[in-house]
Amino acid sequence: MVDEVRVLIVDDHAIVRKGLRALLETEPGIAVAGEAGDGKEAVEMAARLKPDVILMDLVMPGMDGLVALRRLAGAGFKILVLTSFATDDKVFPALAAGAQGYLL
Amino acid sequence: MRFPRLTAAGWRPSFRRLRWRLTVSYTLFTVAAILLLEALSLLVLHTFLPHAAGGATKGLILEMRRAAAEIAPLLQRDPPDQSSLLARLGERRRQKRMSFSNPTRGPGKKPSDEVRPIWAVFDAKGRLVALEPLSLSAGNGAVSIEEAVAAALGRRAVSSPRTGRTRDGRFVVAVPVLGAEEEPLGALVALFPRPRGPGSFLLPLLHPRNTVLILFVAGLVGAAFGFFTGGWLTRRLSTIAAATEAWGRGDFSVVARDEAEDEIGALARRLNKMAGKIQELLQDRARLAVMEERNRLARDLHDSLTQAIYSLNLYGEAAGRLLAAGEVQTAAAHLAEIRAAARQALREMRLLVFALRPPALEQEGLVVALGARLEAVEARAGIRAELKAEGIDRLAPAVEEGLYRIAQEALNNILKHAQATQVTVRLVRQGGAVIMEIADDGVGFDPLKGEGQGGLGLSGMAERAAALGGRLSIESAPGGGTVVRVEVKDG
Repeated sequence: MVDEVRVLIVDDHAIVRKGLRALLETEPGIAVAGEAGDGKEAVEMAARLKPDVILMDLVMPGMDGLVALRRLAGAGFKILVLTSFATDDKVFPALAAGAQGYLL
Repeated sequence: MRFPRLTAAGWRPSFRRLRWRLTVSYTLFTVAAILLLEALSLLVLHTFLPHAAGGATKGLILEMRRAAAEIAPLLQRDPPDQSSLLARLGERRRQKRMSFSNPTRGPGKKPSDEVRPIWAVFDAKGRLVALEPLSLSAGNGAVSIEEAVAAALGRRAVSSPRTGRTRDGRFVVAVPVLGAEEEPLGALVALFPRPRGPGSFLLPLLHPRNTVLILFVAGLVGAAFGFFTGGWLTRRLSTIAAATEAWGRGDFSVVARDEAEDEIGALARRLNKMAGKIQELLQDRARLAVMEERNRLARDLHDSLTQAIYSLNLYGEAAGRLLAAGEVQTAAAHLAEIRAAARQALREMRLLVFALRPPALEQEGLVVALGARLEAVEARAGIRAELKAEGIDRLAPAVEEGLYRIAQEALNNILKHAQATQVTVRLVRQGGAVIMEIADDGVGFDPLKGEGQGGLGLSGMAERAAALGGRLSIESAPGGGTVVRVEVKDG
């Protein structure tokens, strides 16, 4: 399908990536383009795969999620932030940094 | 308040050096003080009794030489003419008072040291021939005539005038009695009474033999005093030192017991205060460590359990949708994933619960704590866990703590990443070292890559080993299991 929404999943927990992939794959019109385990990998993969949406966790080792997010947003990608807490003090900086929205 | 006593087995420094140093310095100071006193006495005597410290005057020697010449013929006779000798000497006594120094007294005052001496005549063999006045017995003074003569003559034949002093401070002058051809016939000795006046009581002290005796006794007293003072100080200092040593070992039940109101007592009290502060700080640190551990647990909970349960949720949702759409096979695969994830979550849950209630390492020791850990976590997670610790009882507290933390980290890694079915923890003593090996049959990893990532807490483990003065090595390869080996000195 040409008009599928291609998603890049960015999370440092493999178990979460797998779960997200499983769920997203049940959704028609959404295809998982790839999985990245940290911010650095996310930036590389985004450049290579050109996903329509990037679904990313902010708390990751290596390159901080927020740094990666700023870079990806700067490159024009659409980003949804995954977070465990609505009051997460990273949500607003993330939105300010260019995230399109966040998922609880 | 009663203070706990130190056991005899406890470390107690001897401070022997201090004790001997004090003994030696007390002795030296005493001897130096006595010598100073002697010097002062001499000064006093020179000031008040110049004649006593000085020698015979020329006038006295001349007078005695004349008397000696007069009695020479009488002494030459065989046997010596004793009665004539006595008569002649008695005459001289009556004729003239004899002074044995040049008194510098004011005019009109009678010199107090112009006194009549006792005359004694000796023959060439040193035998007493005559004593004038006869009424004076040898036992008149504290010192015998023989001794007086010895003091003046030094038990030698006298060929020129000599002076000396008896032990009780009397002044003695001896001149030779010479024959016509200058051959020695004997000696004429004048024994003056002890001079009176300020400082005269010092005279006996200044006699060389008395001086030696005084120095000896004073030195002994000084040494004894130093020895006992040294012992007393040493005991007190070693009590304090033993207390500080106990504190160093972490035993704060010991108190430096010294209630004296002096500087050492004050030092002991300050040290006790300091020990109390250190104990408080240590307790604070322990509390902080507990808080830090709780924070770490909270992080771990978020990191592992939250993520796993979140994933379960996602999988569940996906499986539900797939089942509704009739895609049973994919749904079944997801359900299998759910099982695996739930099992992993359960393991980590146990780990966290165990971390919340760790075995009392301090009381039970490393071996018991490791056994408890393997049973509570690994065994329940379906891993065959074995602990081999033959001949290892208790180790130094720091070693036990360090080794336990390393084992814990290694076991946690195995549990989370290795997918192992078998774990073996081995503790062996080898020489002065203790070796701990944690081996698993899991998936292994590339140690270089693992270290580079800084995950898995490998650097933390190596740091702990280094802090104990030991080494940590990791052998692993993808698919080949892992062996973590720590070697530390025991103690």
